[in-house]
Parts: sequence; C-alpha cells; structure tokens
Amino acid sequence: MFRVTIDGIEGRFEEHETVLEAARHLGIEIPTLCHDKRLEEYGGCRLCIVRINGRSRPETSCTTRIQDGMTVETSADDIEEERKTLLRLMTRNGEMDLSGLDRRKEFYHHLEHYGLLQADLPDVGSNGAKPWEDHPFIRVDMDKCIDCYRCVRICEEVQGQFVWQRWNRGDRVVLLADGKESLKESSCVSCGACADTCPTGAIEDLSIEKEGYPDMYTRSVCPYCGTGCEISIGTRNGKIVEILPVQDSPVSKGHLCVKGRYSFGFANSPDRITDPMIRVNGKWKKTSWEDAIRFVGDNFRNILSRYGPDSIGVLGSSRATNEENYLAQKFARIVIGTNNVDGCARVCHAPTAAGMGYTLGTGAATNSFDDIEKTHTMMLIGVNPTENHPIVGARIKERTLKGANLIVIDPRKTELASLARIHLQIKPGTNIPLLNALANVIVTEDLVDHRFLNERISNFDVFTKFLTEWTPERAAGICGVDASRIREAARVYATSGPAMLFHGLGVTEHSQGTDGVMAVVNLALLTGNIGKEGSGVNPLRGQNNVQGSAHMGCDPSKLTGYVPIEAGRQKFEEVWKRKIPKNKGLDEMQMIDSAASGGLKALWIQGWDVYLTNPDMKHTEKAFNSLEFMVIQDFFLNETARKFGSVFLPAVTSYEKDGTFMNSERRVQRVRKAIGPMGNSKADWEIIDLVAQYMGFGQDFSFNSPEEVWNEIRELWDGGHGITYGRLENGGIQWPCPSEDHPGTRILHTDRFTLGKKTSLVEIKYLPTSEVTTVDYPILLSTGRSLFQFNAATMTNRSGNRAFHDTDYVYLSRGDAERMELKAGERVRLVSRYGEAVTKFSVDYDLKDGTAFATFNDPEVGLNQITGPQRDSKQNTPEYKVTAIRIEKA
Amino acid sequence: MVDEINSFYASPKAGNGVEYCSGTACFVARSMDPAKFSKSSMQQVRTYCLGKCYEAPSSSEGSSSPVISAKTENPVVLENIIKGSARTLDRYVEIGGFRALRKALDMKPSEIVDEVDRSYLRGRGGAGFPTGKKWASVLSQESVEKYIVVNADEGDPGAYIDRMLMEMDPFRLLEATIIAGYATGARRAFIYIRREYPEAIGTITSAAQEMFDSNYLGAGIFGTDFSFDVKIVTGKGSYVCGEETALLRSIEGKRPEVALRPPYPTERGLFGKPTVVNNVETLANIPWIINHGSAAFAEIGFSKSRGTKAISLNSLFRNPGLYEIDMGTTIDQVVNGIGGGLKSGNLKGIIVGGPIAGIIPPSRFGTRIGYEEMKAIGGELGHGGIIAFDEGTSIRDLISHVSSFVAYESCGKCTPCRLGSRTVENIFSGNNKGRSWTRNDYEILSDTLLETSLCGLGGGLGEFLKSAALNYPGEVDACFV
Repeated sequence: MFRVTIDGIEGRFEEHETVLEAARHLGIEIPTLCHDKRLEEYGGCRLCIVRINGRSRPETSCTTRIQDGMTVETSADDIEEERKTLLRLMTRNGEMDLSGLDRRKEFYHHLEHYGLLQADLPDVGSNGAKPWEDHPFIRVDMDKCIDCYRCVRICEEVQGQFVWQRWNRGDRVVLLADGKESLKESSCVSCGACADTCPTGAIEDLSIEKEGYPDMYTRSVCPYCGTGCEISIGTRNGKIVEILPVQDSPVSKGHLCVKGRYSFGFANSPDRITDPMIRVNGKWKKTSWEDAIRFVGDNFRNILSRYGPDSIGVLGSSRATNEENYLAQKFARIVIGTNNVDGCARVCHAPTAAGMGYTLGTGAATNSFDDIEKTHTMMLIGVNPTENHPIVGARIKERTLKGANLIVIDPRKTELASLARIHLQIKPGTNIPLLNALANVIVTEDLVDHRFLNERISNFDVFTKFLTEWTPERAAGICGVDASRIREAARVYATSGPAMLFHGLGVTEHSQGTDGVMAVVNLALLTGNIGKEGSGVNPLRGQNNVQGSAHMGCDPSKLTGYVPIEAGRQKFEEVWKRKIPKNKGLDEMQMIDSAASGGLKALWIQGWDVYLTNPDMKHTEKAFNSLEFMVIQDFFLNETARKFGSVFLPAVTSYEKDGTFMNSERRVQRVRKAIGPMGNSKADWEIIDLVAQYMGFGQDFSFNSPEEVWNEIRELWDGGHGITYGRLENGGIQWPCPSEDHPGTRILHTDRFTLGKKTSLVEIKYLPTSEVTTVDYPILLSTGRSLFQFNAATMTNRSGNRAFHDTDYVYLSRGDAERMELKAGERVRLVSRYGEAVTKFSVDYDLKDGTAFATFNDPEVGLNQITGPQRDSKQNTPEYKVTAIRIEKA
Repeated sequence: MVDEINSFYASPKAGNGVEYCSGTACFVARSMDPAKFSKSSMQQVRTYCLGKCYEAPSSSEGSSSPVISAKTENPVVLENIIKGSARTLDRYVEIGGFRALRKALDMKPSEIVDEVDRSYLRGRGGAGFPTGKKWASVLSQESVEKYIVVNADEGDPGAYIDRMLMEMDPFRLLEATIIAGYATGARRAFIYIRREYPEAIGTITSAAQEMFDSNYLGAGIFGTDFSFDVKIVTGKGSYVCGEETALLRSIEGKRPEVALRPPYPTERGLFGKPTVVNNVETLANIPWIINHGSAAFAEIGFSKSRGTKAISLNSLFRNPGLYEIDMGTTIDQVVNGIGGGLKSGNLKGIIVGGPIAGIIPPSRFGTRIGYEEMKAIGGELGHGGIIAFDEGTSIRDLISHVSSFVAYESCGKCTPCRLGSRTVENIFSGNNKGRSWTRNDYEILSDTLLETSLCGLGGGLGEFLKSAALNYPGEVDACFV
C-alpha cells in the first residue's frame, strides 16, 4: 500500500492504482473524457491533469501511477483554467451546436461545470458532418465528436471488431465505419459499446432520440443467452427506452451484444397478449383470470380422474426464473402427482448435464468466464460464441488477439475459426472419432499429465488400450480432416496449458450427444486441465436460464439441485410434507411420443414454442392434435398456441418481474422488475400459484414473492443454501455456496471431483448416426441460430432485428451452389426424408462441399419441418445438427 | 486497415514531380526567392523540410552540397567526411572503418556498454538521455528478441545533420548500429529514414547491401558467431514519427500516434520487445568512442554536455553549412564567428533545434551550447539545426507559420495540440471567424499547450509562443489591438 496525499487528504492505496483511481476513492472528482475503465489507458483528452509534487509539468491522473509519499493537487486555479481551455477547444471555440449533447454524459456535465454551455459565438454551426441515420438502433452525429476515440478503442479492445476507424490526422481526423459513413453497411455487430462509451452523444441510441431520457434505471439480467450479462434497464413513464450494460458486472464487465442491448422492443410489441383466453369452438375468447384458472384446474382434474396423473405433463421454461421452474416441477410432482416434468434443456444441453454429471459429479461448467483471461489455449468444439454468446465470444476473441492459442472444431468456418491457429473442419456427426483421435495422440505421444492421472484417475491403463485403434489416420478418413492437423491440435491443447474447453450444441445435438460430452471431458482429464485456473470443461448454455431450469428440477429424473429422485426423496418429502410420485417420468421428447400414441392427454407449456422448435414438425403436430387439453403460458400467441392451445395464460417478460436466473458458469443473479406488468398479464410464479391454489394446494403454494420461493429452494438445495437475495445485490454468486459466509465457487473439482477423489475415463465407441446421405439426399445440414435472431425469433423479430436478418437462410458451399446454379438471395426448397421447407439461399465460401447450414429463426419458414427423429441415445436430445437434405429451386 | 493507416501520412502520390519545401528555414528565406517559395503553399500535400536549409527556399530539384567543416580540434562525427566521404566499402575500410567493430566484437557486451556510459554521450536527437544508460537498460532485459531502431527521421526544419551523415558516411552509421546490437543483445535493426531524404535512403540501402555481400552484415560477421540483420524502413511524411513511440508504431504498421511512456522502449519497444532507439548522430559518435576510449571523449565539451555537436546553419547566414563544434562553444561564436552573421539585413533571433522550441534573441548569444544551458534560456539544443531570421519576418508571421506547421503535423491524439495549434494558427492568420481574441487568451493557450500536451509537438509550440511573448512583447501585443 502506498500513502498518497491528494488535496490535503491522506489515504492509503493499492500500489498499482492511478492517481485518478486514488482520488476517486477519496471522493475527489477529477474530470475525464477519454478515460473509460473498460479500456487501456490512453491519456488523450488531457482533462484529468493534476499537479504532482516534484514534477515540472502537470500529469494526466488517468495514466500516472501513484508513488509512496506522493502529494497531488487536483484543482489549482491554473489547472482549472487549462481544463476550461481544453473544453472550449473541444467545442471548436464555441462552434459546436451544444443543443444536441447527451445531457447525461461527461462532456455536457463538464461544460456545465465550467460555465461553457452558453456558446459565446453568434454563428453557431456544424462542422459539416451529416448525421448517419440508416442504422435501426444507433444514430451517429459527428458534429458532436470530440476525438476522444473511445468508440474506436472500445470496438478494438472490448468487442474486437475493428469497425470504427480514424482516418487522417490532427484536427482533420474523421471517424468512419469500415471507411464509410454508415454503421448499417459496415461489419458492425451492433453491440452498442461505442454508443455506450461515447461521452458526448455523437454516437447515441436511437431510442433516446425518439423516447427521451430514462427517468429510472433498474439492474437486472439479460433475457437472451446463457452468458447472463447484467443489464441496466432504462425506463421512462413505465416503458423501456434504453438498455445499458452494467459497468461492474462480473460477467459482462460493462459490455452487451445487440440482443441484450437493443432487442427489448418485444416487451411493448402491440401483439402482446395481456388477457387470459380460452378457445371456444375453435376461436380464442378473452376471459378473466378467475375463469381461466378455473378452466385450467377443472380440466386437469377431469383428466386426472379419467386417466391418472401420468397422463399430464408440465414443461417449464428456460426463459423463466429459477423460482418459477421450481414451482413448475413442484406443481407437477405434488399437485398432479407425476414426474412428467421437463424443460428446454432437453432440446439442447441435457447431454452436457448428464455427461459431465456422470464423469465429474456435477453437470455444469467446471470453470468461469474469468478464466478466459487466464488461459493460454482454448479449444472450441461445436460452439459459435461470437454469434450465440457474443460477450463470451468477444472475450475469447480479445484473448486470442492478445496471443492465446485457439483451436476450433466446427463444420463451419465461424468467425473464431477464421482467427484460430487450428481449425478442424469436420464433417457433421463425426465428433466421436475426432475426440477419440485427439485423446489417442495425447496418450501415444505421452502428452498426458502423469501426476494428475495417478492422483485422480482410476482406469488409465484400460482406457489406453481402448484408444489404440483410434489413430488420427483412422479418424481423418471419417471426419474429413488431415491427420497431421489432428496431431497438431492435440499437441497444442495438451502442452500449451492451462487450456480451456468450450462446447455447445454442436456436441450435444447428436445421436451420440452425451457420449460426445464425455469424450470432451476425457481430454481435460488426460491433460490435467481441470480443477485449476484457466482450464476446465465449459459448456456454453443456450438460454438465459436453461442451466437453472433443469437445476430447479424441471427434469423427469431429478429434483431441485439436480439430485436424483431417490437420493432426494426423503428430504423433499419432509420439507414438502407430501409424497413424491414413484413412477418414472417422461422427458419432453417422450411426452411428444406418448401423446402421439395416445398416452399423454394434457400438457402445460410455459414459455416455449414447442411446435416451432422441436424437430420433425409432422410428428409434433400429430402428437399435439392427439392431446385433449393444452395450456399455453407465454406473452405472445406463439405457433404452438395458435394451432393447438386450449387456454392461454398471459405471462410477463423478465423485465416485468423479480426472481433469479442461473448462467452458464453457475452464477445465480437477480432479475428485477423494471416495468409492468403489461395489462392483466402475470408472472409465471403467480400463475402457477393460482392454479395450485385453485386445485386445493393453497398451503403448498402460498408464496407472496419470488424471494419466499427462493428461500424454500435454499432449504432443499445444499449447494445454494448460502445464496440469499440479500447477497445478490451486486453481481451474483456461483454455486456451490453452502453457507451464508461462503463466497461461492469459481472453479470446481480442485482437489477432488464432486463424485469422489478419483474418476474414470469413459470409453466411447463410435456409433454413426443413421441419418446418412444418399443420392436423393446428398447434403448434410446443421441448423443453428444467428447473431441477430434468437431461436424462434419470438423476441428478436419484434424488436427490429429483421433489419439485419430478415428470414431464414440456407448456406451452401460455393461448389454446390455453382453446380445447382443458385443465386444469392434466391428462394430454395430444402427437402429431407421428413418434410420440406423454403428458405433464402446464400453462399458460405468456407463451407465444404456436401455440407450446409441453416438458421431456424423464422416462424413462417418452419425449418423444423425437415429435421428428423434421431435423438441422443441417452438423453433423447434431438439430432438437430445432422439432417440429410437435397436442395431444389423454389 | 491499410488505407486507414496510410491516410495518416502526408505523402504526395508517386510521380508528383518537384516538391517545394514549406519548412521554417525556407519560410524565413522566402524573400530570397518569393516565386519559388510560393509554390510550396500550392502543393496539395505539404513538404516540411527537405534538409536543404543551406540553400533555402529549396525544392527537391537539383541540389548543391553544403559546406561541411569541423570547427573543433577533435572531429568525431565528421572525422571521415572531412577526409573526403566514404561511399564505398573499400574506401571506408581504407580510412579506418570497421576498426571499432572488430574491437567491439572482441569485448564483452557489458564492457562496451560501460565504455559508452563512461563517455557521457547523450542522445543527439534532442532529449539528451545518456546513451550508455539506455543501452544498459536493454542489455539487462531478459528477452530473446531485442531490436535496435535508428531514428533517421530528422524532421525538425533547419536540421540536415543526419542527412549528410547518412549520405556521406553511410558505413559509419551501419558500423555503429552493429556495435549497438552486439552490446545490447539485439540481432536486428530497423533504420527509419524519412521519405524527404531519398539520397540518404539510397546510400544507406546500397551500403547495407555491400556489407551483406561482404559478410559485414548477416550471419556470422567476421567469422564470429554474431549475426546481425538490418532493415531499412522509409517514412511516409509525418513529423510526429520522429517521436520514438510514434516511430515504433509506424514500423509496426500501426497508426503512428504518440504512446504513453512508461513503459519505455527499452522495456517494451518494437513489437513489444526491448528496443534501443538512437538517432543517427548519436550512433555516429560510437566508433570514435570505441577507438579512442571514453575518457578522450569525455574530455571534450563541458558541464553535463560532453563531446562535440554537429550544427547546421540556414541560408540567411553568410556561411551556411554543417559544422562540428565542441559542446560549450557560445552561441555567438557559432552565429557570428562560424556563421559570419547574416548575408544581409538585421538578425532578429534564432531558432535552435526546430521551430517547436523557444526563440533565442541576440541578447542571449553569450550562452554556451549545452543541453541544460539552452533550456535555461528557454530554448532547446534539439537536433542542432539553427535557423536565423531577420526583420523581414514579423513575429505574427512566424507564429502563424509555426502553428500551422504544428496543426498540420499533429497526430491528433491530444486535445491541446490537435485543436490549440489550429486555434493559434487561425488567430495569427486572421481567420478568427468573428471571435475576438485577447492577449490573455494567448497566455492561456500558450500555458495550456505547454503544460497539457502529450508530447513535445504541442508542448514545444507552447514554449515557442511563450518565448515569443517574452522576447518580442511589443510585436505580440500588437497582434491583439
């Protein structure tokens, strides 16, 4: 610690701190403009100059480190005069039109403080810059630019996008996006970081221009992907007018993507349903909550009495809070009396939870996002973070640009693959041979961590024998990549540690999804890349609370805390004072099958457009047509509701309620109500309470707030016991957190695995998918989402994102496109063994012939008409990543 | 990306024909050939200093050589040139070239660094940092890769010292560069030569080629296991690239903004590796120090300024040319003795080390030339270029010219330099857009430029403005009536 005296006040500060930081600790404000904590020190605007004892000239406090015994004066008269001069220069000696400055931002405040708001020139004019108005979310008016270059620097240093450029020099510098005066036409990813950091309003959120400044900000969590960025929701008169990143968020560190930052318009979409509705004679009829709840309760009772509890299923939602998912499964288990309860994890990461749970004892990320900055090598398998987890993607990108090794295994040359040292562009569906071959190289070249193996692995010798047949040459033939590249990747991963593994749906959505996850874990175990900083197995979860949904017990075989039913039965029955059903429950895919064959009679779907997103739509349609009763709880009349719903219960968005979400790195964070509820809509937890109460379970569902629900969860879940609402005020806590004085856990399995001191490597045999190409179906298609559209686009399409991604596209290799004589933008028909769909076509120059990729974002396209019935052999997760198709001109 | 970076520079497009110099020496000599000088302002891209200040106003067309003479008993940097230049390897060897390199390769690197340190040699680019200390710092860094960067971006108008050293004695610079590399553990050098010196680029390039061909450069020099590689980089027309951090960024292909120090290049320099950045004249001292020993060098000069200094005089002098003097010679001896006063007209003042420093009025000519001594009278030693100006140049015109130069060359990173220089230019060129400026505004702008600028460009303009007000108060006041 250094002792420093600033303006006569003495303080002790960390040795690495700057004079600016030290002053701010003391509550002494020094004006800054080019400074932003997210960026590297710059020292350009010079506004933060201070006098330091013994230095001949003033120094910029933002770039000067403190020294022991230093004496600083921050606001001597001459310094203040020079600051005022600098500010006046920035207004171009009064020529800048100050009326358009953002009044919340630093520049305006400083001008006000120094009495410079009244321009002293009569001929106020512009510098000739014309506003750029073509971007749907961001307006640029460079007349207000003061050349602090925060936009340029944040685009480089935080987003890694390099869109903003400085052209020319001196006072002739102009800022351009990829050399042009248009963000819309540039490679901009619309993360809004430049608008957020701009200290004048030269780059501004369009919503502010249209709606005015927020009068209140509420800290909450983004409703999109599983990264779990914290957001600051700006509201005005009960309406969201802006969303900003949270500067001190441990996850997002003051950054957001286009979805979190700008795609909030859906909350106010005119087609929000805000009254309950019942379908009468095929037509939807508005009704009261009382009638709707009675209608639901009576129908469930009726079906219960006729077919028994296992004829009813409940589907929780990855979009809903932990508390709501907890209530959904509690409702299924004690009100209905069935284990037929599941969540969206079934169609994405259930294999991760199962596979990692089987090998390590905990089905969740072993490490944290903060390990990215500590790692030396990252291997990404079937995951495309810059589009689907953009904040994690940006951090991986920045780490790569700063010199870490990046290895990408993906059939597509994703943005990160193009930056990677090694890209193994495998044929879809061949993860297992490749992962086994990587393990083979690690073992045969003796790149294993012997100490780790001795201490923590019980079956290395047996496993070695199994691996001998998986030479890189053998895998190369199956996967379509060079054996030498497989060797190189294995060497880099094994020898340039600590190394992190990231995987996504490209591993799980396969017939060997769970096997794939275990094969990934094998690599970490062989090389000792687990249980330490900068390493681990890190699934990137798809939706905001998909980790939490299953963890709360929306899984037919698990109770809250991801505890197997029999292991938790005694404790849960004691706390709930109710019996938990003994029958094995159906997972979501089994519920569909059961409905199709007449077993399942009723389904309550919360926040999930199953019809649109499940594979093999014909099969889903048959199943849903066979149901007697379907409750849909959502905020839009989604495709499932439109076609099959019996009753519609209008829920609120996560902007309109309290609760918690759990992100990909096991972090529980607070969701806070910023607006609403809209009309008569209600939070999911309230709706479940009401139905349960109507059905006679008032005692079990007498919650007055999400916090009360959470406290019941804490009683049941040991690993979350220490996480109280009170402790979640800033940044959340990562479980396990067994007691209220426990700080939470950043890294799992440090000394022992959750399941014991030692674990075993798993021998994964290769069982090729039955989905194969033929003359009729010569192309292998993978489906996925895109940066600008999220899943079925329920939210993003209603938020202006069509401007970037108007409909679904199928991407083909150049060779295939030329053979078929297809033109970009042309409509094509995708035909599989299961159905057909029409999308637009585009060329992906980096795809290999015979492979294709398509988005599934447009309800009108209904891409899941063509995906098939293949599923993960252990968790039933659909094989979205492999469908044999042919392309026809539409 | 490349276009964006290139837009920073002010290089005329290829094949633009003759360039006319806008530099300060040409500006103060404009009345000697008004038609010629006026062509400089018609150029789309300005040329600031072709290093022909002895024949100013100058152009790229045709050229004479300046008078070159040693006005010291111990010529150091000019020792070869006054014997007749050494433009071929054979000739260089004949006059004793590479003796220092051979001697150095028999020494331990730390011995060389100690020798340079004991000589009290300080950087001749203006900053005056002790060269031995700089080398010692790089030698002490644990890094496999280290670099020598030769700053041959002599951009200060008025100076043509490095230009002549390169054109007339190229092997000396290369020899010194290799010694610097050997002494600090670097295996590779970059010589960054400004584009305005095409002949220097030519001589250095062909000299290096000759040396590669004869095993004076490349793998295993003189059969030792020491290998050394030299790469020549051409500047693209930017004054700030003479500042070392901007120069390094320019070599790296980045936008050549001035960067914060620390970290200093000796710790994290070119491509993030420890780097010695020395200017041409500094290195030209090295062979002499190795051959004659540090004590002999330290005996020359005075005070904290040891050895000799090369100075260049502009065309207004009776005897324009390049001279080597002992440190400690008085300004008067230089101006009136060596320079012989002005050809005609009354001397009003001199600008030493480029225009972004204080003006020195005749009343201060008794000062002895040395780093600290020049600072004490509000000036700088700088590169050692000396521009005298006469009564044909008013202070208003001079301020307008200098602030225009700064505004044109400012990288734009810091506010005072980017906008303050333009504001001063507007005031003094009468382009003040209806705003009335006061003498007090001038004071505040000068202080702000001097105290808050990031590097010596804006800061130097502040010094210049303050010295103008101090030494020519009447003329400055008259601008605000």
